[in-house]
Amino acid sequence: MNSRERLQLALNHQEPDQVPLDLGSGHACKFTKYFYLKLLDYFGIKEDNIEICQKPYQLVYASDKIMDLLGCDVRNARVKYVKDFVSPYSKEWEDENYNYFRNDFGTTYRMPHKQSLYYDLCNTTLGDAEDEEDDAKYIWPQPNKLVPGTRKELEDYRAQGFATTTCQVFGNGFLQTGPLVYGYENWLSMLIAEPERCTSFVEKLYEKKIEWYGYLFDEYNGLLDVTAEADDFGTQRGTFCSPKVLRELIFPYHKKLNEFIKKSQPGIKTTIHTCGSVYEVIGDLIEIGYDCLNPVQIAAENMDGVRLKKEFGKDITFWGGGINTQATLPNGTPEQVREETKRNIETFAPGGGFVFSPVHNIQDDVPIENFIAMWETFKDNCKY
Amino acid sequence: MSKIQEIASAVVNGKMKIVGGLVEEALAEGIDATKILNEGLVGAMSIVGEQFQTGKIYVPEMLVAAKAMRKGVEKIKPHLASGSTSTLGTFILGTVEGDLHDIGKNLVGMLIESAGFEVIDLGVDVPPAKIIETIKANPDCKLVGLSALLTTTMPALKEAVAAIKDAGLRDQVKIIVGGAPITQAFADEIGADGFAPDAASAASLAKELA
Repeated sequence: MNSRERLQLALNHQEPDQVPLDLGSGHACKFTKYFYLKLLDYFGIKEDNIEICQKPYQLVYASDKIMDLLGCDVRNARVKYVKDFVSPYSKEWEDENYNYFRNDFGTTYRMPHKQSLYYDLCNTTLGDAEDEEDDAKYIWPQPNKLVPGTRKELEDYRAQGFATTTCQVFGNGFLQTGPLVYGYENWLSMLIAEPERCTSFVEKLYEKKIEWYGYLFDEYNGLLDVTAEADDFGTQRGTFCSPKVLRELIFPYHKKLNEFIKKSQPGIKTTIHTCGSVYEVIGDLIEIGYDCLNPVQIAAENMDGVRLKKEFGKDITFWGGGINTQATLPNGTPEQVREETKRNIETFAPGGGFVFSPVHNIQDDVPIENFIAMWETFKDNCKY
Repeated sequence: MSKIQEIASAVVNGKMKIVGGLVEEALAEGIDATKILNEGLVGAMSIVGEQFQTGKIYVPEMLVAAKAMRKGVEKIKPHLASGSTSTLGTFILGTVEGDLHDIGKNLVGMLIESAGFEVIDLGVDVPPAKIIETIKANPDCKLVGLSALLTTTMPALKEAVAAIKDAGLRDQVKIIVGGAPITQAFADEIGADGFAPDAASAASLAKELA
């Protein structure tokens, strides 16, 4: 059985030969740059051209060599764009304390020189917008087409028997792009106080996402097994806003998008990446048509794996949930890591519908011995 | 419904546009300004905090309620006797060094302020030296709140608590910590005085420790 067959069985809620593994490839399943260097050092591998695939979190594209070594079943497309549109917002600069960049959405991020681990949100373009007249001044980014021939990478992976995915998205989610343009407090207040402004924004974002997916499928037609939209609905304790607001303002766009994607690419599976405590809306996500839930933040409230598997396990695949990255993986002992990894596999694996991955990207503070303990425990316990 | 109850209801329901007008009406009726503040505004936010803590409302409702309360406070402040707004003391707040996340901290700041504290918000990426400098500049301050969202910046929380101790200020202030990866066990380990899992709990804890 090859990796693709393994993943397809799992996503169809059947038990393959072993639990599929995603380490280094899928959404929230990657390595930050400093951890990746530790990993290379551990395996005695030297790599000269490490490429950042996501700038704010400083995540890297793991090499095929590393992913083969780890046994990763999933391969992520390195999407390349033709830069027809360059946003007037786009800029990079630095001062004595921080590196800054402003992206196509006009979101400014900064990274402290001293910490040098991540960029974080520090300013937004519509942060002072008060009404629709101000909103209309926003310069929307335009999706770019993919460089012709980029498809070869996925053709090669398909020929080698891997499952293929892309973690690229246009902007962020229908809930989470607004905060990056208006600021968190403004956007979250608008959801209640001025929902019509939010709807205008989300409607426009949907048009752009459809256009972007069109370009993606022009190049990768028939070559993607799974796509992933990212839209964090949850905080550590509950949803960012009420499920009622999500159902009225946000979920209808996710539903339309799923219908578009599945009509364009028959047989494709869709993943929703949503951090946080989202138990209240998993039923909605299933009804919307998402096939997989990532990253399954088991340490968040009401996200106990046993209950999730019991209530939703037949209807959605858990892509994540392998180990708690907020506590055990960075701060536990290797023995605690082994014990939790084994327990989570026992919880999520039965009946298929599970892709093993840690709850989130592997950060610099994870000791290499803890990562190896997780990986070795997976290998010892992944067979059906 | 009394005017005070109308004001409180407008705050709880986030009716930013009418709170100011209702406060003016209450003042015109001769209702004591401190009573309007404490029962109509601060009292209302206490209800909002409790509703958030018990999951009846979410962050957006809390934000608009806080905005509505601020509209009311703007109208009431000129009518208060000097020094009567912040009855509970000063609360110094910040996200620790290396961490740039602030929405959780900002929500804590709103509810702490709503509860009657004067909040000095140091922002994000705050080095221990800045926290210490601010405590020294505010010798009446008894409370410090520190936030970290990342596992990689949890050590900075530990360092900040240790630095406050090394500066000889540990007896002056109680320290509350919070943030997504923070737990009571971690708070105990680093010698903090309290842990709050959310903004409303932080406000309750601050009132207890004040």
